[in-house]
Amino acid sequence: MSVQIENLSFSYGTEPVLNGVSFTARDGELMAVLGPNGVGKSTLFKCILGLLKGYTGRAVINGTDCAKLSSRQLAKHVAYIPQSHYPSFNYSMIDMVLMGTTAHTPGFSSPGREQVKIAEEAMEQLGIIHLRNRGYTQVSGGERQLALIARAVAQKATVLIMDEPASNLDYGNQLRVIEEVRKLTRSGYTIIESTHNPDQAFISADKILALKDGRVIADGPPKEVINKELIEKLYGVEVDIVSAADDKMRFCVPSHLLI
Amino acid sequence: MAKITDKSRNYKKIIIILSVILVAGILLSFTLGRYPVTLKELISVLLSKIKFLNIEQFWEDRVELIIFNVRFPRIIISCLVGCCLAASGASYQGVFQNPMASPDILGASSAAGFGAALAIILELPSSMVTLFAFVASLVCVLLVIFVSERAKGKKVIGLILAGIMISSLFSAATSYLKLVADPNSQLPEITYWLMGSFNGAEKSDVAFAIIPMVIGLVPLLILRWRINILTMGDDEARTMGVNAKAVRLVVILCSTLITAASVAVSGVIGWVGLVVPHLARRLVGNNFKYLMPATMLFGAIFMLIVDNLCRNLTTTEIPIGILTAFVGAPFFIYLITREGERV
Repeated sequence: MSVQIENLSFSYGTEPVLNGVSFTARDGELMAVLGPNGVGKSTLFKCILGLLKGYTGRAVINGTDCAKLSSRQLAKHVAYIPQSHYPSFNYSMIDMVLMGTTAHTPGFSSPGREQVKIAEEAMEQLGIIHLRNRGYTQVSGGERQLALIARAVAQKATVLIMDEPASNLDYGNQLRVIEEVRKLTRSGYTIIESTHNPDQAFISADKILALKDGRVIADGPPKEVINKELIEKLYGVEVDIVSAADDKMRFCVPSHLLI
Repeated sequence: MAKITDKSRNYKKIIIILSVILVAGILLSFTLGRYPVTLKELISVLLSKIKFLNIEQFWEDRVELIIFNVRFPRIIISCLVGCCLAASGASYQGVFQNPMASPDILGASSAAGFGAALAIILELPSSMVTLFAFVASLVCVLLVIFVSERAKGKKVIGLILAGIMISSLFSAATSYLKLVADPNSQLPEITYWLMGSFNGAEKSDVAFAIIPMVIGLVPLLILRWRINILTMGDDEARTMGVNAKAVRLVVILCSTLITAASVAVSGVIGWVGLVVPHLARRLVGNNFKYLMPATMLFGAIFMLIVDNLCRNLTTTEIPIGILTAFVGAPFFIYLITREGERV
């Protein structure tokens, strides 16, 4: 019930990007949107986040049509977690997380003691409170990503939209970020993340949404949905799905490299 | 590179120290100059204005005249202009997500130069020179905003490019005016104006500048936290519930207003708007919540000191634009070569 997308279509000029996309993501569900680059994952996210107007269809979050909300109202429902980036100015980690509370500070005021406490709790939750006073550009990529997640937690939205949260990170940080995202889902957040790595979807997602040419070509639990055919359709490569640890985990391996 | 400590904890202390330095600097500045005024005379003159204290006059009338008609406007104007240029520089740096931005990035200064040159050529009185400079500056930035609205692609880049173009148009126009100006009277006046100076600041200048300055500074103080969010880029800002476009427009308009008011009364003074925010960052960090007030105070102090140097260093006064460049440029070189910090 948490996120309901109904027949969403969007085109840049005459070029259709999304074509009748419908899906539902419930509370406590982690949905991975799978598809090659340029398939419309970002466009889909921008529509949900209210950054793109002029789409047809509906995006309903917590029972309210997104199009009817101001950015401030929408920010209380949905938070966006970009890939870890370098801003132009080196903010301290706490300031970075504190920015998430802006939608809740009254009027145009600056966040006060109460908001600082919310931000600190969010940092605590993600295990980065020891970095409170460090510079955001001086910590590792994984820590930056966790700070952006903490920022979304401090925003007190129930739906989190993540843009490839684990890309650009080293292996250890990838797993750490995936684990934290997993924990958030367990505590009731609805998370929609984009990824182009099916293995990552196997590891963490409850649900897969596969996009191709702006259409949904598969929607369901990873083990039911991800197969040889889907991967070939999405990415044009041949893989075998292998199972490990009593089928608790599955992986894609390139077929022609198995010989 | 030292790690960032919680600079916000020292914030109150720093603001108090800066305020004390500013007040002390202002008092001290009254005593500096060709005509000697002692601190005792200054304080007595000020206190004598409070009627019931009944302080007997022991100073010459001239002292009072100098304090109120010469030094007072000059000191107040230099503090106000320093405060405004620094605040405007910091705001532009935030809005354009660019630490290299300065108050003249949208052409406010070059347009003011054109306005002033035009008024000088038309042989208008000095109050009209100020007004022309002010109006030209505002018109230029409105033009830039209008053009950038039509630019495709990223809004911030569109603004900067439109700013560069329109600013260079105004510079060219100023050059043309210099060419046709009377080389004996008008040309030196234009040139001198373009170098910037507080020489000849009058009470009427204070009266002219203070209203737009207050109108511009107050919203910047109110919106200062949101400038942080703007530096994350428009999309991120909006997902955090901040109307990026509206906040940016208000910040740009306010910064422009205070820049225009500053340039109109002082001429073109470079570097302050670029350098002072970076100095203030060293004290309180990057968070605009703390940076904006610190920058404003620091700008006032910086300008006051440099102006004191201008009027006391040599027998003839040095235009302040020259001195700010001499102080600002080496500092900036230090800034970009400093170890460990990205500019």
